[in-house]
Amino acid sequence: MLKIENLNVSYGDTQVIWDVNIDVADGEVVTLLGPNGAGKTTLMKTICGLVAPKSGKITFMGEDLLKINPWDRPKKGVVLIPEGRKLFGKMTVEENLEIAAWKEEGKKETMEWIYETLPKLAERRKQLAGTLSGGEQQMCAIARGIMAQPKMLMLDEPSLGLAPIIVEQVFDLIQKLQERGITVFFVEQFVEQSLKIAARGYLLEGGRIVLQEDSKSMLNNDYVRQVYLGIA
Amino acid sequence: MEMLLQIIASGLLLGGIYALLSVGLNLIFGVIKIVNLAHGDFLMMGMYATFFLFTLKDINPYVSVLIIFPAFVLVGVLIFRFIIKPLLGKAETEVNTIIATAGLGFVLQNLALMLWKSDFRAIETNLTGKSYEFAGIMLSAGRTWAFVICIAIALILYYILMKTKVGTHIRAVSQDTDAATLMGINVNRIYTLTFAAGIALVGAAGAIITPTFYVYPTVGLYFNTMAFIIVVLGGLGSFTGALIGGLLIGLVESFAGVMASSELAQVFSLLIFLFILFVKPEGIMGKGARV
Repeated sequence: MLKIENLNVSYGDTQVIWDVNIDVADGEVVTLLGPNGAGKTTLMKTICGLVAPKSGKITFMGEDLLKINPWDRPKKGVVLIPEGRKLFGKMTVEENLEIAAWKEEGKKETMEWIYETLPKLAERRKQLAGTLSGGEQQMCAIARGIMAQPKMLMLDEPSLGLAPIIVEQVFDLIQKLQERGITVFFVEQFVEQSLKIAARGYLLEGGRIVLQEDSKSMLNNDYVRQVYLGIA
Repeated sequence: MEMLLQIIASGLLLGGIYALLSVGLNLIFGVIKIVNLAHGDFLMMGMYATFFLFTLKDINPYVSVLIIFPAFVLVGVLIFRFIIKPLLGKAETEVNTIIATAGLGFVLQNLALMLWKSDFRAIETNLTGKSYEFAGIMLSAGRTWAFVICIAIALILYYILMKTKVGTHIRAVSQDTDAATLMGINVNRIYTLTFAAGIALVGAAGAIITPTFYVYPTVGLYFNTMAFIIVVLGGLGSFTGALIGGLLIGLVESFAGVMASSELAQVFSLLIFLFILFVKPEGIMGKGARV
């Protein structure tokens, strides 16, 4: 579904992504792991067009994504929920959801599904998004992404700054997305939890993919265990 | 008592005009985050357009809004495309846009000076010198109509911003351009639209005030100062702030004009401005009510 080939990205003279290749198949849940500053966010931003690459190819369902305007990419089915949520804080929850719904078809059903799955959000639909708690804001951000009815939803560190119990809810929600037939590609720092819900993982270090395996072998990989899980 | 009501009424009438004068400036600042120093000069251009439409074609100034608004939308689109857009997203955007718009202002002033000389011009409509009496208060006919039209335009704009899809998109872009892009909004299109609307609004304000103010090439300077005071006073980027700021300055000038003298009126509005900057530097509606 998503195919990234030999991608290089730089900010001015500083190259941050080196020759990256990634494949995500239809219906898969794939996670991108790596330490701070590895280039995970840059990679996400490049896929949805907030950053232009230096070279390389990104195709989505056979279409050259780099030829499509950033603001038209959600209409192709590629939606990113950015790091730090980036809600429209001075709009209500409902306005935030409405704004993402670019097509009428399926809009009502999607919104009903969201309010059913996240009843807290339904209670707060008339409240300004900026006044929600951190966990509710993250749920609202994910809900906003779902409203765009994506084929592939990308999430950039959805657990950032959340209490462990809320993190669990976020991971539950990601699994429900898969049940809905949405392909999920997400960035995380919680290695163990991420690999439990993802089928496969990529490990990005210093802008390079250093490891790509299915979740089980990744969890058993000595390097991952030592560096990321702290198990000798 | 009647005197007091009279002062308040004239102040509010003037304030309504000031509010419309500032709304465009505020809209552009709130959404694109640039300061348009040529704002007052677009008002001047709107006034000249009204003046000539009236003297040459006999078109009523209030009707000419219907011509000037779309014409200024077009002007706004072109200026955004060729002068503002090349400066956005680059280093020193804020400084560069200030210099560019200030330069544009000088060009417009000198163009007017060259084409139409420095004469003070005024038009006489069938409303000139007339006033309406309402419960013992005398309301200048020109100012009353200006006030009504200004408030109507402001309400329409408010409705568009709060209730329509394009308005929601404008508010989204004003809050976070990246998030707006991720939600499928073409930020450049919203910028163009906002800039054009800001220019058209001040052009319309120019048309509406022409029956009660003199037209001359540097008339924009005075109104530019007023617009900036009102916008900062009300809270940068806040729509309701600009309305409240406009009405407040109108009232202050009205009171100062009667209590002291009309020459000193602007001094008093500047004093109020300084006072508010000291006690609430972010402006009256500086938080929570952004466009």
